[in-house]
Amino acid sequence: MHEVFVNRASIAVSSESSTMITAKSLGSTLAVVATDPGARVAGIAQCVLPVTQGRQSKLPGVLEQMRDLFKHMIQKGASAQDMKIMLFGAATFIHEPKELALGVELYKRAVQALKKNGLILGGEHVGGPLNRSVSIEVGSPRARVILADKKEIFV
Amino acid sequence: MNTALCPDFTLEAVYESMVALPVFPKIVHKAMSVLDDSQKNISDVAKIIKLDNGLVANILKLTNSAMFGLSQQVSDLETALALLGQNRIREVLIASAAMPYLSRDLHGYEMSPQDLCYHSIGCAMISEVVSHRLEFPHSSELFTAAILHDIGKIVLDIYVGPRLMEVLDRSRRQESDFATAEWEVIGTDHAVAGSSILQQWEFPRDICRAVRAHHDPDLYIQNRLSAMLAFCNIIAVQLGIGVGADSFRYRLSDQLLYVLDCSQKDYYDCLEESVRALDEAKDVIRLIFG
Repeated sequence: MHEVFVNRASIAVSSESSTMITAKSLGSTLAVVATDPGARVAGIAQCVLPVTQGRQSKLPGVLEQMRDLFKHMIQKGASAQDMKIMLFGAATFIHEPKELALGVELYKRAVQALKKNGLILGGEHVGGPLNRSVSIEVGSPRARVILADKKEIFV
Repeated sequence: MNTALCPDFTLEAVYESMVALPVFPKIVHKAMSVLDDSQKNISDVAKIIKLDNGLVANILKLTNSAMFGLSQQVSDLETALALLGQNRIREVLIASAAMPYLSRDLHGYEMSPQDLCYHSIGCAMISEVVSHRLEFPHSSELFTAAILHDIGKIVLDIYVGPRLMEVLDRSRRQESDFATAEWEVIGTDHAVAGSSILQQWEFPRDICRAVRAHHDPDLYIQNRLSAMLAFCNIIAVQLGIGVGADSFRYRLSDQLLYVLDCSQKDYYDCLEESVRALDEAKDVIRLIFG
């Protein structure tokens, strides 16, 4: 199995068989996972910023990253109708002021964007004081979440 | 006599045991005091550092890494020190000396040796970004505090390791602050233990205080260095840099950004620049983790 790691604020999309895409130690960042098992295309966007920071910014906001992820998925042969979209990460402190609630803000914007575009959220494992890693294998309908205590959950 | 009913003097046991820990290299403190002496120069600093070959090797490795952004590779200590400048020399000294302490498995916090090291280095890199963005004049002190802020985790893991699982369980079951659970189970927390060991190692009082306060929202808003350290730690955790089981189990102060005079845009800028700094420093991270 070939494993591709996603960096923070970047995306990875693959249509190669026997390929696993992984976003490690998400913290409060949000992994948007998309998979089209029929077309055998999968991808992850690891989003850090709720919004793009002005003209000089080099890092995209969550909406730009989602758009980029779906564009690459479709270019590789995925279909918008058959794509399953899932959200992971966005961990929160047990108490955090609104202005420091990064995970909450990323999640809120991602869900709003999906709704606005008529896309259905196919699954999620988000929030709470939990650090997660997430993997998706090309061709699989399910993502694998690994928690800090090595516990695995399939979504 | 039922010993289960005896009071638990773990706190005293921990503090007594801390005396037995290896001391922070005296050479580093000596070099730092020479740096503070206006009558001395870089050659005087180099003379002291040269007494420790391991330190020289680490300084050259770190100096040549992207973390310090030099435009040329250097192979001799004096050139490295001259290129780095005073504040950078302090940072390299602290980073070089701290690494052996930080490369440990922390079962009680569900952290691998890489996690703690990565978290400490990451937090120090973020401190550079945040100091610059928020115009904090004491960036060198913040860097030192950031590298060493979780040193208490090592102390507690060594001396009360098995009980840390109980702390984690309690924090999970009661959904309570991890530091509160540490106090309930072992009678101290890693911030207090870390501050105590830094005092023993003769670090400046401000740094000890910042380390003591880094998870206490009522304490860290009382002075800027402490608030800056707490903020850097929050960013490192949010970005998933060497995150342990306890990392998100803390309460954040509602006043933190206000105390730091940090707008929402500044906060997002700090996140963005931190991601970039960490990305650019991939080679130093590879250097440390092999």
